[in-house]
Amino acid sequence: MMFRLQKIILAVCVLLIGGINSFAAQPSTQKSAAVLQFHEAGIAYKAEDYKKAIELYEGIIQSGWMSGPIYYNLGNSYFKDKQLGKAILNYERARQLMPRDADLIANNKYAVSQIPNYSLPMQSVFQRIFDRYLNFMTVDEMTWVVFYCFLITGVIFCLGLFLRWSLKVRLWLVTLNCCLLFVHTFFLGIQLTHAQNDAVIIEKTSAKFEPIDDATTYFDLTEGWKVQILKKETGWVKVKRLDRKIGWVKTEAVESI
Amino acid sequence: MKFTFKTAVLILVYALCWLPFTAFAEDPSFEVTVNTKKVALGSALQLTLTFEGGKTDPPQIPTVDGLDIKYMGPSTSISIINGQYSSSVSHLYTVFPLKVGQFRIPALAVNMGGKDLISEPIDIEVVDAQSDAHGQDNQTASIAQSIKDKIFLTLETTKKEAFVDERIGLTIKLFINGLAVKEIQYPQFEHNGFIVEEYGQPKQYQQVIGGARYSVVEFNTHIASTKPGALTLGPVKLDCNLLFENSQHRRLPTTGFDGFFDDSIFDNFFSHYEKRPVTISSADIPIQVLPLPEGGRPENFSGAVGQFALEASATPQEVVVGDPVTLRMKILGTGSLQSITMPALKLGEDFKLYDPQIKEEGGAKILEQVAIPKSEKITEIPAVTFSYFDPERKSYETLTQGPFPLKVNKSEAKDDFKVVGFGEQSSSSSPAQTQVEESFGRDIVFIKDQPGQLQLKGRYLFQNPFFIVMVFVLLGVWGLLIAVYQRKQKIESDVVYARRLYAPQKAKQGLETAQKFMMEGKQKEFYDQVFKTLREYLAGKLHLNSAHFTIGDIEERIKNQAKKKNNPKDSDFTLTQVRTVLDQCEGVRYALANLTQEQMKENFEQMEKVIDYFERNWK
Repeated sequence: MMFRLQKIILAVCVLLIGGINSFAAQPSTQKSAAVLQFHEAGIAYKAEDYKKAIELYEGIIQSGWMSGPIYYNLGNSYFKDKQLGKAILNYERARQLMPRDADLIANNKYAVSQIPNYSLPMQSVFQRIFDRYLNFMTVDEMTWVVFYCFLITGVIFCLGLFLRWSLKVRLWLVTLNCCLLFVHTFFLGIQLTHAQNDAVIIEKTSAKFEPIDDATTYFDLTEGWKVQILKKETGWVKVKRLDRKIGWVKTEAVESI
Repeated sequence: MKFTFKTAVLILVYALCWLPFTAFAEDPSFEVTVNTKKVALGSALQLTLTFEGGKTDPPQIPTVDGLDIKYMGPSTSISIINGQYSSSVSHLYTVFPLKVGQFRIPALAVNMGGKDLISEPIDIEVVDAQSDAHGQDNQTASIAQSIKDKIFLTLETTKKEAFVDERIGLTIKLFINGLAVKEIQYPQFEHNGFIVEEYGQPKQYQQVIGGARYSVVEFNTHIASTKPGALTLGPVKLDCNLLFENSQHRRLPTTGFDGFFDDSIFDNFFSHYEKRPVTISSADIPIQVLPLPEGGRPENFSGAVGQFALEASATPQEVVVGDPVTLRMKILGTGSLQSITMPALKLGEDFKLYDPQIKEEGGAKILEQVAIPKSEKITEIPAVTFSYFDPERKSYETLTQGPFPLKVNKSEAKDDFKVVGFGEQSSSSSPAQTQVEESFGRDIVFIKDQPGQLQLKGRYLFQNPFFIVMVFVLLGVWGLLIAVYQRKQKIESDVVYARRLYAPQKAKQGLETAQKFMMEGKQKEFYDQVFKTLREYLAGKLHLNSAHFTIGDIEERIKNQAKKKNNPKDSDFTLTQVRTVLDQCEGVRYALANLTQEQMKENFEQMEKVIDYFERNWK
């Protein structure tokens, strides 16, 4: 019986290791082309040919590849090209892939400080801690955390059964892990919602009460403002500003992160 | 019957109660009247539109040039004659004449009760108040042709030509003749390109113009132009209220006392004055503003225009190093103090200066500034200069005061008081110990040299098929482990289940051994093994004591099971097989029977069929 159990555990470990390795396996030739183009773009940037750098970085992304440094460099190129909205947009995209990068944090902060009349609403201590933890990990990292919480919960449960731990110990450990699992699943859900709905204003626009050209303007948005997309109509998008003001803007003025 | 006020009120109420019953019983009629057909300029008359036999909204009176007609409100009256009730509604208007002359209020048309009614036109005469009062044609007295002759506003300046920033006087006068005016506001006017000071206290006096005596209210202020060119000042507007007499006649219920309230005493009793807001405007005046000449302009000229005097002082004249010295400057004159910039004191590095206090007081601008000498080598405070442009002389002037002698003594070591920020100055003149704030530039951090871990766009980890499979595999593994645990628990707790579970495995091993013996032709060993295998198998499957069960026990269990499964034929056959095999085994074991290979094979197959039967029917 125990021999069978050991065989099962061994099989699971092999599967896990194989799975992890499978994520590293990528088509090599396409990646090489993307890497080469990345370096070319870097040369263009250093030569202060920012438009060419933008073109090359955008080319990598359009070919289907992405990474934090690509978006970061693209953001820098847009910033140097005086396109503040696009710069912040790409910084936000980079932040989703490398949220703890100090250079990215500094550049994003500096770019945001260039937005005229931009102010963040006051947040409570809890909100700040919540946001900080939410933005500390990428979606994939959070997925791994959820997975490991899930794995540990199962392992503890099974070990408790076979090693005959007391019910109280099993209950505490499993409950604790379940709580961690649920909390991180919740965070993951919020991250995915933000990833789908968050957007940046890329050109100065006015937010109107209705999705009509002649409607009354509610408030103005300059490029760089971060908004949340609520709804889409033909040619219009309903957005919510950080201070919870809601209005309709033209589709071409906003781009999803 | 004595007529009292209380009686009149009772009658009025009584009549009003009957109003609904009689209102529609009359033929509608319409009448336009005025209280007087001759009125003085400055007074008003009352126009009354009376409707009987019906109700209607107040009609719009056509505009009449020279008359200002305003609606005052409705008035309702009732009358009772020989028990017949009648009511009427009067709409009252005030007619205020704007000029002297003859005027006609045209005929008015209304529709009442489906009937078109037209009134008669009314002619009125407006005369000048003074000629009317005296009742004679005075050739020397001027006759006001309009209200503007009786009240008007004038605007004057002391100069028609001035320099930029030159302060000139402005006088606004309100002339009033033969009118009662109340609540006169301060004049307002557009003054683009001018700075206007606050008004002084207004003056009031009388003045005769063209034989007419006017009451005059005079407002004085000063202005200064801020830009050169041909500018226009005004017009000035002044708001006030005219009081005019407006007598009223009210029709009271006629109960046989019609003329009672028509007495002239009561006319005067009920007449009163009404307020009429008016805005009086003056003409505008042109002013030519000249730019200041460029030639001869001193370097320290700061824009002061006028005639000024400068006073300055520095006290005390003897101090210790670190003690304060107060510098006081006073500029007074005829020019605009607002445009004056006080002279800056250039005291050099030897003094520490504090922010000056500047104030305007008594027509002068005063500056007070504290300076602290840092060295005992100081002997004086430099002179101060003030330059201005004199518009009368048309030249720049410079006033100088000082220098002011100052004796500065060395501070004693025992002095407790020390001025913050000072230390003893050494001959090597060490740099001042001030903290210089370092300023840092801001820009973005440079790009990254490496692309990092490339990944496919828009693909998250949880969308990876292998990840999903891994999760399900994990779930499967846990499910399997739980099933294993539960089986283990059952085996440990349920003996019947455990025996039944392991019986086929043991039987299989037994069959393999028996087959081996059969192939080798070892009859005794074969039948021993068969006997052992079958007994252990049946004991485990049927939960019997393997050492002590009989064929009867087996028969009973088989028959019960056959009833449940409803296959008695099969069970009988199996029972026969079991008996045969066991008999053969006993025959060989105890009777030393000698059986052929075929018989051994047949018995082996029978045993297999028995085991098969039980495996199929006993779960």
